[in-house]
Amino acid sequence: MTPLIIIVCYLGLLLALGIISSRSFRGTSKDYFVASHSIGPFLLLMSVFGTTMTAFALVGSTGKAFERGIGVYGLMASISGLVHAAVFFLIGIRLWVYGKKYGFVTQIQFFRARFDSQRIGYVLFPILAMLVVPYLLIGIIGAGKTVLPVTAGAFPDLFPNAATPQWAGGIPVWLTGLVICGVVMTYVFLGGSRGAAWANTFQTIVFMVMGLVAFVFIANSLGGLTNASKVAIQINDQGEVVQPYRWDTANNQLVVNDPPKVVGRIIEGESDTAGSYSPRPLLSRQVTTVELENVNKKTGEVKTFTREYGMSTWMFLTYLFIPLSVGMFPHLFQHWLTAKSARAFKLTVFAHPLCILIVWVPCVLIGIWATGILPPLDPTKVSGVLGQMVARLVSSPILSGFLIAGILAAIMSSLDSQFLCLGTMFTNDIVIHKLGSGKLSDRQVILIARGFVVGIVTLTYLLSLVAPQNVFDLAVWCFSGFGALFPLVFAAVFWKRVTKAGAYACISAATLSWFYFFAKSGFGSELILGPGIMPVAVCFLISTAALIIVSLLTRPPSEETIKKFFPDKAS
Amino acid sequence: MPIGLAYHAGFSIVAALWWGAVMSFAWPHHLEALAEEQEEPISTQRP
Repeated sequence: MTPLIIIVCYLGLLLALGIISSRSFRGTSKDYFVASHSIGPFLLLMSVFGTTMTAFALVGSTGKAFERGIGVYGLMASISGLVHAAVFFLIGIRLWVYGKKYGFVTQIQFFRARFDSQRIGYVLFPILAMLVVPYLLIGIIGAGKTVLPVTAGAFPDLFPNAATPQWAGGIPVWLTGLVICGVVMTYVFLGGSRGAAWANTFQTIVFMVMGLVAFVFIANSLGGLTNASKVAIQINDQGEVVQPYRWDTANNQLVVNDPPKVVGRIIEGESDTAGSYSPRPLLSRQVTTVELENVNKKTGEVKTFTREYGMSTWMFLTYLFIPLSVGMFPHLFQHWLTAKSARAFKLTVFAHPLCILIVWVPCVLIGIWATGILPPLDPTKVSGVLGQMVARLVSSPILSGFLIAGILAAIMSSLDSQFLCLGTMFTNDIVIHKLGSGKLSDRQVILIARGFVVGIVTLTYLLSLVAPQNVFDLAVWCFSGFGALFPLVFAAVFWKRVTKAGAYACISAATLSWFYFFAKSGFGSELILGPGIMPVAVCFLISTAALIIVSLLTRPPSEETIKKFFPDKAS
Repeated sequence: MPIGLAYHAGFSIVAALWWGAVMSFAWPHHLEALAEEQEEPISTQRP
């Protein structure tokens, strides 16, 4: 019950913040959509960072480090820090300038003006919406699945939960989703982009602090950082996978396994000489396939499965294309436009890699330590690693409550921006574009935008009730779709010669190639090509080639368009 | 901290310093000036 009280208090605080932020609302559509370009450096950093980090930053990073080792940080965090900051500096600032100068509030308005094509908006809108909606579903379902286990037993009569009796009495997924949607909708409805920026700042601070708090408590339980670093899973000289320590739950202390407990063995990987191995922690990026055993304590049943630790060089290199997706996120475009000045971006560009470091290093370390504390878990259960480590090593309902609040904060700080962005796009790119802005008062525009926010939240919530619960696998596919479209925005801001036809070719090539691989994956499962190549790399190359070839074969854009978007440096 | 993770954490710090240096030496002043000019809203309405 304690975690539930903390979660309710947290949601109440968030609602209060939404109401307070709405008092700063200036009553204009520009204020509702882009906060009248008034957001300063710190709020911009926090809102942009909170939007790009989802629950994956806390829960997924720990689980992935448990599954693959420290290479996960290099794969997802190092590259994201470098590439995200590059995109903010090279593309974000330019789009902010064009948005402020020419009055854009959506990404589609920019593309319509840049490619001198009204129809491009109707082509892009469904594609962008199709890629954002699964991302929203991930958040809503993820929030429900996070709250259910920690509230188990709280309301046994109200929620008997026959389907998953181990969590009987817990808040069901549909109810958490409903509450989360209600809270986010309220502050977005009232405060628009300013409300989202304020709430994001608060939530980003919460999830960063909670990650660090969990880390400190877990490290202390393991006897400090030096001792904790010894507990990770290891390979012995016979190629066996062993756990040198175990957690004694009765006495709440770490004890040495003598001899080390064998939990599996290498079936494929580099041996030092034929058949012999030097003892080492199983953490590195070097690819090592092992067969692990999981013994069910109640039934004694032994379940074996294979796991590939580390990652191939191809996977490591081609993963680079995933973080490029931020350049095409429509919700991030809207956050960029809230900036007070181009200089407000400086802190975001500089501090984004450091914020990633602050969140990811502790979580990856917890994931690595967990390999020596928890039994080998199959892939469907690794997202519970952080929760299990807190439950076993800290066993404090207060900390559990705060940690869940942190995870919800990470989820909601992305949800709000996405809801607002879809509402903004519907209003501006479809309704106002069809009707003509002169026919609507500013007040009517805000009314329509708020109506769409309510409509989209309702529709997405209803979709979450019928969506497959393994929707998490879709996350990488959403990023891949946005990543495949990245050449479009890059060319739009850097290449004068890109043409309308080239833009259409790029969008078509990105969409078709993405759909081909998506279908090949069985509509959402993981798909790795050949020696470890991520499909996004292939989609990216195809869309780039289409953009360049078709642009060079068609008539260049007008001088008037070039002058608008490529001002002379000397002037 | 494992050496591999320390290396990558260092990489994040270097990335921040790199972009800090790039902003110092290659700040797009001409674009900043453009943003400070009078706003000229472009209509993206249907003609």
